[in-house]
Amino acid sequence: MTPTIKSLRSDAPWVELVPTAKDWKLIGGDRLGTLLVCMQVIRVFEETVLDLAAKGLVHGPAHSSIGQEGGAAGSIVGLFSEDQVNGSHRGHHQFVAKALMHLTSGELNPREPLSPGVREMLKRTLAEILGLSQGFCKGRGGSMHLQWLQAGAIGTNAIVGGGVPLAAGSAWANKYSKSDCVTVTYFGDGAVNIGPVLETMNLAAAWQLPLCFFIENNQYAVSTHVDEVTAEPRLGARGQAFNIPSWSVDGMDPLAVHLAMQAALAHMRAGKGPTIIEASVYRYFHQNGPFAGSAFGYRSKEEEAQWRERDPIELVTTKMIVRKLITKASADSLREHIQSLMRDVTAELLEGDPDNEGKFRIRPELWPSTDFRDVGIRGDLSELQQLPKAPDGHAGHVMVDRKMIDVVADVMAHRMKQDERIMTLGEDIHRLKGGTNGATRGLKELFPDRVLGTPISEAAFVGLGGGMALDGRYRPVVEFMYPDFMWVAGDQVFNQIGKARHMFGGDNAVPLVLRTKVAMGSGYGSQHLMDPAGIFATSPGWRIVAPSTPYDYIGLMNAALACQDPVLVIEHIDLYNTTGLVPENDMDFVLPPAAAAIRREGAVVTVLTYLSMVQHSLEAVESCGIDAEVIDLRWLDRASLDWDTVGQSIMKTNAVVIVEQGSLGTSYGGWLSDEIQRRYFDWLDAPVLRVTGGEASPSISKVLERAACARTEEVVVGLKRMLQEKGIG
Amino acid sequence: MPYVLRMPEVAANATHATLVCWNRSEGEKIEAGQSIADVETDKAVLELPVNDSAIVGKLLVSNGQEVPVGEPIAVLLQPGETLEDGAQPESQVYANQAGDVDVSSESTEVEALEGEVVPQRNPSSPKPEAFERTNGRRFSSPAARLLAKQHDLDLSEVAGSGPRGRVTKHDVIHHLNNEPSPGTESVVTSAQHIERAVRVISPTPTRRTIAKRLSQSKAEVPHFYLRARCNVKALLAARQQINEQLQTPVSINDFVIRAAAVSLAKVPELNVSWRDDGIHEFDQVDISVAVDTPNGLMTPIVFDAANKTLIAISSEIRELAQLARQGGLQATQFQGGTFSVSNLGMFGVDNFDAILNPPQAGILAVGAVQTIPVIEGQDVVPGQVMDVVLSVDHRAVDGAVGARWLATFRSLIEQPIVMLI
Repeated sequence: MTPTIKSLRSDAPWVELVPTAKDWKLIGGDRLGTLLVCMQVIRVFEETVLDLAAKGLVHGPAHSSIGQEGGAAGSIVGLFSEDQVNGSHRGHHQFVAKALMHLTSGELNPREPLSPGVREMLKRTLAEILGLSQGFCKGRGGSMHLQWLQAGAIGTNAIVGGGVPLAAGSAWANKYSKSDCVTVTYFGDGAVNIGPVLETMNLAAAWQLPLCFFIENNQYAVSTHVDEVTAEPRLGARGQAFNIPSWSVDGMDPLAVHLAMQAALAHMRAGKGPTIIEASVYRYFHQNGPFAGSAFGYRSKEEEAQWRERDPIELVTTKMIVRKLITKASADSLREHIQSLMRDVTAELLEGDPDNEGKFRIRPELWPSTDFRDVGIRGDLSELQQLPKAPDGHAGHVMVDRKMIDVVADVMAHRMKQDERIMTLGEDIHRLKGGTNGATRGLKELFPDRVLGTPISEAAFVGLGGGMALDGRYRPVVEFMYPDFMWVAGDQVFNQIGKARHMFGGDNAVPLVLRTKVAMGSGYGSQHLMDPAGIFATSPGWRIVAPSTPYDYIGLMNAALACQDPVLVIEHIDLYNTTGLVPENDMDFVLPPAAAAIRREGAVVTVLTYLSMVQHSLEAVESCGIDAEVIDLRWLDRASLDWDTVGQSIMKTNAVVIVEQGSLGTSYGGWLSDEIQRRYFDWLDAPVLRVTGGEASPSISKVLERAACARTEEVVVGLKRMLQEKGIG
Repeated sequence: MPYVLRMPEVAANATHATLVCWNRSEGEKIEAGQSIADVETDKAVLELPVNDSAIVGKLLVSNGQEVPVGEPIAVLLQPGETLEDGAQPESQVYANQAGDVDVSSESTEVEALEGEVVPQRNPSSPKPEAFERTNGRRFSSPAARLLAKQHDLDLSEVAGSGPRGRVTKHDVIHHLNNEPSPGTESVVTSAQHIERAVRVISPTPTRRTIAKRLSQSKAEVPHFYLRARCNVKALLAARQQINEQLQTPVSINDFVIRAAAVSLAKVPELNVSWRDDGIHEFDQVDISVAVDTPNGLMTPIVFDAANKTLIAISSEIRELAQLARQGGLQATQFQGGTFSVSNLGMFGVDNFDAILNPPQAGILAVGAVQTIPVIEGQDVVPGQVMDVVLSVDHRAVDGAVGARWLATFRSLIEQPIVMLI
């Protein structure tokens, strides 16, 4: 065999950039000064944090960036205030650098004192790290969740790689809005091998987003060396797989980083898509805390000493002295000035501990009030107040019979016409005449650049949606073709989107709609047929709606699209071809939270249900003649549920059957029955009874699938059991 | 294990029952469903079937003996068992259900017990006493406890029909309504029953009194009913003439009261009351007039009505009715009375049968004036009639007396001039 072998190579450039002596002469003195001040502020700030950590005053880990200042300063000096950055658990340096640029219009003079604004920023940053209410996230975020949206610091992230898809959302908004702003997402060598990062690289490249993947390769993921975990430890090589141009630089050389970033910015601002910069850096200390990594035995003191010899601050200071831009004395006094400032700032946050002489404590009045604990999990829904409601269910209006699936597509088209901020994205939603079920029929033709067919990368595209929502310029509607795909994207859905508002202090709206469909009965088996309501109900930031009729779909989707919180909209394939009356001339009404519908009044038992099980419950009630009150919950999450309607019904019937279709383990009713027994114990005449599917996920075999799901027959059994419980069966 | 048969709660809240006679002797075999004894309460005699085929081991009470509900009356054996094997008292079963099970074998115990609970629930009500003897707790639902508390009811008096003998709200409602436990009622019937029951409004004292007195009357007094259709053409004409002379008009009902009073004076055999010591005859006619009030039916009395003129009666009734509606009647104004008149004519009721107002022996139910074709001579002409129904206590009065009274009344109504004399 003598096949012809042809060498192939990626179209993407992958280069190493090393500044020359000439570059050091050409770079502006002001720029070098800015780099120096920026790095020195970071250094002293971090030293302060470690000092407080050593004193036991930092609750949780203090991931210092000492040694890595060159990467942050080199890349951020020169960004616009409107450009965005986010980062990882080790993110103080980027946050401080971005905030400095925001406050100073990009120039810092080593011979001038820092402004009061900078002092205030440093104090608020330190306060956040200490968990104090004056912090940027009111003390909620701490060291790992630093966010200052006005400065373009869109939030650091404690999940390795977790912030990367979110950054893509801001980048997408930059591109769509035709601004030339860029987003830089910082992550380490440990994060470069996690799925969502790679998914996002692919997605950003496919969509040509102005997103810089800035890899701070500090050699160690905690104690594991990068050589141990990848066969390609030259991490800039990742760009080769996705056709992303990549620059590898010595991160201990801030000018190298800076020049690479200027090249990357030119590429991105020109609309040519994402970039990768790999900066080799070194954290002088261990993963967290004030001790050297060598103390933990995974690296040597010699290695640490070698890296320290290439200290980025020393390098820039030396170069500036050579160019007579600064003297040794003025460099020292810069450091002393910052140290003095940080001492003053610290003194404002601490006081002598009266119980431990010679020790310090946080000034007690600076802690957040504990009643702030759950404030801002969700918004206050004021955004829905002015929207048209339908208290009388459109009595007197001309009503027309419409199919659910047509309403699904039509209400989205209508809203997208009304609100240009709405974007839809998901797998195949732009093809097949409206995706796999027709739910997005016609949208691509109407809004070609607002209907985005995605790669099969749930983490990346839902995370991108989350970032878009956090950014606030656009309102994403993300589709998961099947609910079980939420597990694939679990971090983005629950750790990021579900927690973001609360974690960042309670004010950052997250207007994202996630559509999905329950498909029990379609034969797709164990990994496609769940009902996601129960799992989403455990994530308090999410609101959940489950429309059972075309009418409800309009009102609930309108509410979801207007809501400033993430809302899961659950559809059901059994309902797509059902019909129902909707107002002929009103596609704008909303059904706000706490809008449960009593579908049948009754006196013996309250049936709480939703989605397709509403109709099954009504059928069951009629078939066995039990006088049950059937309540269609419509809004399912704890905060949005209509407790008044539910409570009044329970006080009347004294018995509750919660009816859902899906399997027991992931089911919805568990928390609800718990809540009911606590709220209404004295009115209950029997334990709350639940109708669910089987224990296992539905199988593909038709008969096993049927056996695994609850339908009318199972509701009948449940109702009869409840009568026995009440002693009347 | 030998089975102890106990005296069942034959009627709701019955505390005792009499064992009339045993239908099997000791040592005889009895099949499931066959009657082992006849049992009598003050309301009923019934046969007592056994649930399982058995041999009668020992009869513990004798024929004619009155036995407290829940007491052992016989011991039943299975083939091969003897009395010495020791009976399984029912209380032990309940004790286990109440949570006193051995922890080490909890799951199997409960499994077995649940099988036993179901058949026990149906044949008769569970016996509260059995629970109390366990020294364990009785199960009751929170809703049942809440309702019991609201009615100051001791739950130990209530039989539980839920799982593990749990007292449910349904049981409490039944108890409060003095109804027996539902037993084997069908699902649907029970459900519909509950639907009505839970909408019951807590009764006012007046309502309670009405309920108690009328239940007693309808259940205990042998009513008979006599119906008559009165031509009121002349009465209507007379009323019109009279009212033309009066500032405050008289009503048809005023005529009816006057006519009833005069009739009672003429037929005093109806102006009586059946009492335990005999029939009480009255020499004065005191007529209770039914008045609808916000609190329910009230019956203020026109005393000595036979000696009062139509106009006097009219104004007295007007005052009394107003007082009754305002809740201002004194006890002396509504306690007593020898006869009642209830008029629903103003509501368009054609005719109806009234329940006697004990201890009175008669009540007249008056319907609306209706325009119908009547025969006058050889002609059919438009006529105006009023139906009345007389309810009579047959213990005190026979049909002929009632008929005589009704004829007198009708004659007075049809020739009203007579009652005005």
